[in-house]
Amino acid sequence: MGISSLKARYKDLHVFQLEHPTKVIEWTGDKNICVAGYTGSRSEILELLLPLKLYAGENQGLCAERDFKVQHGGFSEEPIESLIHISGTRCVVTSGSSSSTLQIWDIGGDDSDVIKRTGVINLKSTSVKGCKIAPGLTDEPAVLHGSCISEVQLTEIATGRVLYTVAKESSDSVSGLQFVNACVFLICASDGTLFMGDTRDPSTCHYPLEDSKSGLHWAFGLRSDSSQSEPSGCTVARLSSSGHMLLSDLRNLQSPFCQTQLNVQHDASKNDFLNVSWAPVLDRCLSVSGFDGTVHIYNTINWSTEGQSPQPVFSHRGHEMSDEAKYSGSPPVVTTHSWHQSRPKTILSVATDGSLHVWDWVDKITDR
Amino acid sequence: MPDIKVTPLGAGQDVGRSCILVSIGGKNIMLDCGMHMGYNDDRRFPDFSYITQNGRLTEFLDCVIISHFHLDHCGALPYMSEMVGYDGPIYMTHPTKAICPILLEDFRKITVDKKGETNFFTSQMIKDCMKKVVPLNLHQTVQVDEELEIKAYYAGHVLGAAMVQIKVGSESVVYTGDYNMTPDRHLGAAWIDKCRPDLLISESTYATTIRDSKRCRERDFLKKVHETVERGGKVLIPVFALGRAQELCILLETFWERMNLKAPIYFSTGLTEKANHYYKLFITWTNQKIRKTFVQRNMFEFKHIKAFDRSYADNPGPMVIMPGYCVQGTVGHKILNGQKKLEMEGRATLDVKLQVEYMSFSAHADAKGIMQLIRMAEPRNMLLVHGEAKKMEFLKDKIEQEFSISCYMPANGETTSIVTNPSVPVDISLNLLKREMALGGPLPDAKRPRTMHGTLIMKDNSLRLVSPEQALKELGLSEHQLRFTCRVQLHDPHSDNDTLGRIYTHLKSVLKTYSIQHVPDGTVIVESIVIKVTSSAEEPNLKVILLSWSYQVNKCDELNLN
Repeated sequence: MGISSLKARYKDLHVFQLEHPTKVIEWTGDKNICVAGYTGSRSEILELLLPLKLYAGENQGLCAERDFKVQHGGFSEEPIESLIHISGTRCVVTSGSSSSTLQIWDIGGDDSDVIKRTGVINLKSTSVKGCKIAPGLTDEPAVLHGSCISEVQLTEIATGRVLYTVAKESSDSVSGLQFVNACVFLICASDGTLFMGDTRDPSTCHYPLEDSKSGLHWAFGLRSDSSQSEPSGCTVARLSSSGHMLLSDLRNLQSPFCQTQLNVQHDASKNDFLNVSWAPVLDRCLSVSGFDGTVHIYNTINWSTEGQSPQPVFSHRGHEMSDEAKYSGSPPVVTTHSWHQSRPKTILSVATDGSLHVWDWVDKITDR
Repeated sequence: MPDIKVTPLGAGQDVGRSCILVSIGGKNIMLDCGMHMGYNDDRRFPDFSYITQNGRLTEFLDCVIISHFHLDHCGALPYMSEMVGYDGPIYMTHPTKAICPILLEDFRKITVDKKGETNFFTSQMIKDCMKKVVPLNLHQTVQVDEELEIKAYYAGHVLGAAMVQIKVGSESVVYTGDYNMTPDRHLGAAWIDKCRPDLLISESTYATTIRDSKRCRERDFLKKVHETVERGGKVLIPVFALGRAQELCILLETFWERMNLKAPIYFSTGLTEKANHYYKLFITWTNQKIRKTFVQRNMFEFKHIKAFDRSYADNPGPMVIMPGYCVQGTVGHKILNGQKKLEMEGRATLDVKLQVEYMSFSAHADAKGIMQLIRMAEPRNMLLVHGEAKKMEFLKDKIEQEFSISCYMPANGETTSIVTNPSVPVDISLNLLKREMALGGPLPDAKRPRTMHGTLIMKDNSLRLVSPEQALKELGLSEHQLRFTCRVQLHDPHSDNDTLGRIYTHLKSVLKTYSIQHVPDGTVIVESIVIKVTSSAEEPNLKVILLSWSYQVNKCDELNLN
C-alpha cells in the first residue's frame, strides 16, 4: 500500500490482529465494542476500548494511544455465533453453535475485568448456525430469539418468562431479526421472506419475495431514524448471496421500491458472513460485506431498478492485502463490519484471519 | 516446604520502575534496579528497607542482575551500590555494560547540573559502580558461586537486552525484563529454550493491549514526515539515541531511497554518534538481516543521515532532525505535553507554533506475546509484575486455563511464595537395583513412582542409595536383628500339644501357599514366625500362645498378621 494512494483514500486506517477471529462486533458503549471467538471449542469474549486517538479531536497529534485495550474478558464453552448488548445495562446475550441455550453475561465494571455468566435461556432446539438474537427495546431487558420462524419468541431476561411467541407454523430458518420500536419487529427468513409482527398483536404478516430463487441465502439491514421509530421512517435492505439487493419501505413491504444487482461473486460457503448495514449518520448510505475480503460502501440515492450494477463509492480491500493473507492458502473473508455510532465515516471490520481494521474513508466526490 | 520467594520492590502500585527480589535455594538475587522517572524525590528509588532496615546490602544479596540499559531498569544502580552500599557482583550483558554508564552520566548531568538536585549519585559513583560489573554472553552459564548459576537469553526490545535464567540445584527462575516477540528492523525477537523453570517472571504492562500493526505506525510516521518535508518544513524527532533511533534511522533511510528524496536528515552529535559506534561494535546483537548485509554494507552507515551542527539551525528548507530523548524538565518534554508557551531564562516567552505529533515505537510484548513466551519456556508457575490486579484477572484465568499452571500477581512490596517440588538426584548401587528387579512386580516405569527399600547415605556432597548390608559394611556397624513377640490367650480344654496341633492344622488349611512346619520340639513355624503354646499349672485351660517374628517387612505385610 503506497503512501500516496493511501493519502487519497483514507483519512485514517488502523490495522490490528486479534488472537482469534470473531464474527461479531457489538457496541457496548460510545467507545467500547465486544468481540467473541467462533473457531475452537472454547471461545473468549472480549470487551475492547477503541484507540483513544480516534476521540482526541484537535489534540489527536498529541495522543499516543493508538492501541485497543482489553477491558474485560470471559470464556464461553462454545463457539459464539451471535452477541447482542442490552442497551442501558452491562448485560450481553450470546448464542453459540453447540448448545441449546442462550447465555447471559455480565460484562462487569471497574472492580473486575472478568466477564461472568449470570444465567441461561433455554431453547427448544440446537442450531448449528446458532439461534438468531436481537435485543428488546422495552425498559425491562428482553431478547427476541429463534432459529426458525415458528420458534421465534420474546423472553424476559431476568425471569425467563416468555412474553410473546410468533404464531406462525413455518419451519423456514431465520436469517436475522430486529425490533423497529418497542413493539414492532421484523424477521428476515433465509429465503428472503420478511415477517413483520407486533408484540401487542398475536398475528404476524409475511411478505415473500416475488420470484425467490432457490439456493440463495438472504440477509437484511434495517435503517431507522431512532430506536423508537414509527414504521414510516424505516427502510429495509435485503441482500442475497448472489448480490441481489432489494430496498423496501416498512409501510409497503410487499413491493420493494428499488431492486438492483451488485457486482459481486456468489459463493455458497460464505453465506454465514453476509452483512448489509445502513450508515447511522450519512444519508441513504449502506455497506455490504461477506462475499470476500472487501467491504463496499454504496450511496443508494441514485440507485434505480433499471440501471446497471451500481458502483461503490468506496471499497476497503485491507483484509485481502494483509501479510497474513499473502501467506495463507485461502484469502480472508470479512466476517462482519460495523459503523461507528457518531463518526460519520468510521467503520470497524473483521475477517476470518483475525484481522480487525478501523478505518475512516474519503469520499472522492464529496470530500474535496 | 521448599519454595521460591519473590518481592517486587517499590512504593505503591506504580508501573514506572523495575526492581525485584528473588530468594531461591537459600540465595538472594536482585533483578534490575530501576529509577522511577515520575518522581523528583526519594520515591524514585526502590525501597531497599525490605532487604535490611539499615546498612549495606552486600551480605544480604548474592548478586544483582540488570536486564537492559533503560533507566527504569538500571537508573538506581549507582545509588544502590554506592550510596546504600553493595560490593557484590553485578551481572549484565556486554552492550548493557558499555551503554549503561553513558545513560547514567547523561541522566546525572541533567538532574544535578541542570535541575540542581543534591541527593543524587556522582560521576565517580557511576564509575565505581561499573567496576563491580561482570559481563554476560548469551547462552553461557555463569557460576556466581558453587550453587548459584545464571544464563542470559536474547530479549529483543533494545540492544543488549536479556532475559535471565537463575538456577540453584534443580530449582530455577526466569526473569524476562522487557522483551518483544516480534522482530523489528534492527533487532530480532526474544527466544528461550524449553528450560521448564519453576517460575517465569514477566512484565505485564502491555498485557491488555492489542497493538496496531507496525506497518500502520510506520506508514503514519513517514506520511507526516513526508508531508512536512514536501512543503519545505523541518521535522524534529526527539527519540532516545540508543533505543528506537536506530529503528527510525533505518526506516527513514529506506524511505528516502525509495522515494528519491534529497532533504538532509540530521542527528544531534554526542549520544547518537556513540550509538552508531556501539551498534557496529555489538553487531551480533542485531537481527540476522542486518548481520547478513553487514558484509556488503553496514546498515548503520547512513547515506542521508548526518551529524547536526548548530550552525544549520537557521538553514532554510526541509530537514528532518533527531535531537535525542526529552527527559522530564526539558523544553522538549514540555512541548510534547502540549505546552503552547515557554518561558525561557533571560528571554521573553516563546510561542510554540510547530505542529506536535506523538508516536510510540517502543517494542513490548502484549498478551499474545506473553502466551507465546510461556509456550516456549514451559514454566511450572507464572508471575506477572507491573499490572493492576483488578485489570489482570482475565489474563490470569487465561494463563491458568490454557497451561494448567498457577499465575501470581503480587503488589509492590508483597512477597509471593511459590512452592517448588525439586527432585533430588541420588545414585543407586547396582546390587540394590538388581535386587529390586529380582523382587518382581512391574518393571520400572519413568511415569510411575515405585516404592523401594534401601539406605540413603549422605556423604560430602553425594547422595547414594545402597542395600542395608552394604551400608552397614561401609559404616562398620553390625546388624541388629529385631524379634517381636506377642502373647495371645485363649481357652482350650486340650493339652498344650493338642492345642498346638489344632493351630497347626488350622493354619495349614488357611495359609496354603506358605511353608508351615510342626517341629517335634513343640513349635509351629510359619515362614519365620514361631508359635508356641504354654499354660500354667493353676489354669491348664488358659492357653498362652506365644508368637514371635523378626522384622522382615515384605513378608509381614503379605501375611497380614492380625
